[in-house]
Amino acid sequence: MRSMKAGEILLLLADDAGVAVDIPAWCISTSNEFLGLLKEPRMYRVYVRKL
Amino acid sequence: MTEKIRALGLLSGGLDSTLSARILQEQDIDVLGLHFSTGFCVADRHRLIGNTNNPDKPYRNEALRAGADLRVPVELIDIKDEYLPKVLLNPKYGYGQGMNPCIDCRIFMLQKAKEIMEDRGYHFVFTGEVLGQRPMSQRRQPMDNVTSNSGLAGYLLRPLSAKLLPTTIPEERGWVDREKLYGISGRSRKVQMELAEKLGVVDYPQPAGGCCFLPDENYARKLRDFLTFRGTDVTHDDMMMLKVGRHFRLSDDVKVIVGRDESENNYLERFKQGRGQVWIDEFPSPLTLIEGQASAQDLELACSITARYSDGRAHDSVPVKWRIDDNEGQLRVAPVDDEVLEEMRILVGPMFTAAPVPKISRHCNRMWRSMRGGPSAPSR
Repeated sequence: MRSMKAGEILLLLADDAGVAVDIPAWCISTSNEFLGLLKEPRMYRVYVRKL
Repeated sequence: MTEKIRALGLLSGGLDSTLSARILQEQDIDVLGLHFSTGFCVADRHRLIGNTNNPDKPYRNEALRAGADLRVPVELIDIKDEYLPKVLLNPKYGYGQGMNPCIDCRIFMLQKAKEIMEDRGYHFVFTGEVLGQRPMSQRRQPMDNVTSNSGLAGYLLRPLSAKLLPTTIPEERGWVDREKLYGISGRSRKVQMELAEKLGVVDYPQPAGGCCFLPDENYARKLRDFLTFRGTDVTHDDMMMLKVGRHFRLSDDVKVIVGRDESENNYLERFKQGRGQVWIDEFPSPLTLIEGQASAQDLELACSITARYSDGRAHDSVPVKWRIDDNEGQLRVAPVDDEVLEEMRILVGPMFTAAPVPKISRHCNRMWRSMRGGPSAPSR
C-alpha cells in the first residue's frame, strides 16, 4: 500500500475467511476505502482503494 | 505551530492495550498500533479452523478491530522467522509455566518498536501493561528489566500504571500529562472496565488467559517433543501442526497427528503435502497425518490409531486407507488398545528436566511386540 498512489486499487487474494471482517476494519483505521469482497470456492478477492 | 506528538504502541486489541491507546488519544496524541505475529497466536488457529458454530461469522483480528474502533492505524508485523531462533529457542530470562519466554518476547517486540520509533520519528512507545497483572512479565522487576533491555529506558510509557512507575521522558517533557494517566495494579480488570465505559471503549474481547499458545502445558509438551526428536530446524508449518490434533510418537523418527473433529481434519488437510495420510472411507473417521519415514510397523500402527478414533472403533477390524508419497493402499487392522495408545501420547513425562526427553524407539518396540501378542513389556 505504501508504494501505491492515491486512487489506485489494490486486489488482495486470500484463503482466510477472516478478511471479510479484518480488511473493512483495517480500511477504517487507515482511512482507505473498502470496495468489496468476492467469495470464490477456495479464495476471497478483496478490493481496496487507496485514499 | 506546536509539534504534534506521535506515539506507537503494542496493540493486541485486548482491553488494556486498547485503553492505553485511548488514554493517549484523549491527550491529543497521534497513535499508531503495532501488532506482532509470532506464529504462536491462539487466534491464528481459530482463524484457520474457522468458526464452527457460525461459519458465516469468521474470527476477527482484535487488533484491527480495535484500530477501527479508535480510528488508529494498525500495522501487522510478521516476526515468525526471527522469533524462533532469537526468542523461543534461546530465552535469556527462561520460560514461564509452559515454553513461554514472556520477558524475552516483550524485550524483542519492544526492540522492534524502538527501531520503528527511531526510523519514523515517533516520540515514544507505549504498552498496555499493568503492574502485577501477570505473574511472569508484569511484576515491577521484570518490567524494569524489559524497559532497560529494550533500549527504551525513559521512552516506554505504560499509561495504565504510570503513576506507580518512575516518571518517563514523555511526562517530563510535557508530551503527556502524568496527572491524566492512571495508577492501576493487580489482576482484577474491574477498574479497566469502568474506565472503558468512561472512555467509550465498548467492544473488546473478554479476558481469557492470554492469546499465546506457549504458556499452554499441552502445547509446550508437544513442542518440546518436536525439538527433542527433530532438532531446532523448525518451520512455521511445523509449529502450526502442533496446535491441532492428538499427537502420538511411534518411534524416534515417526509421529502421527490425529484430527479430533471435522474442523481439525480440514485444518490438517492444508498440511498433507510431504506427509503420509491415513483415513477410513467406511466410517466417519479422523484424518491422520504421518510425519517422518514410516516403516511397515509404523504404518500399521497409524492405521490402528485411526481406527480407534473412528466410528468403527467397536469392530474387530476396520479397513483403513493410506497414502505415502505416490504409494497408496488399504490395511485391515484392529483398533489399537487404549492402554497401548496412552503410552504413545505426547502428553506424558516431565517437561522441564535438565536432560532431553529420552528417545523411545526401544520402548515403542516393546509396545509393538505387546500389541502383536509377543512378550509383554516389562513394567517401568
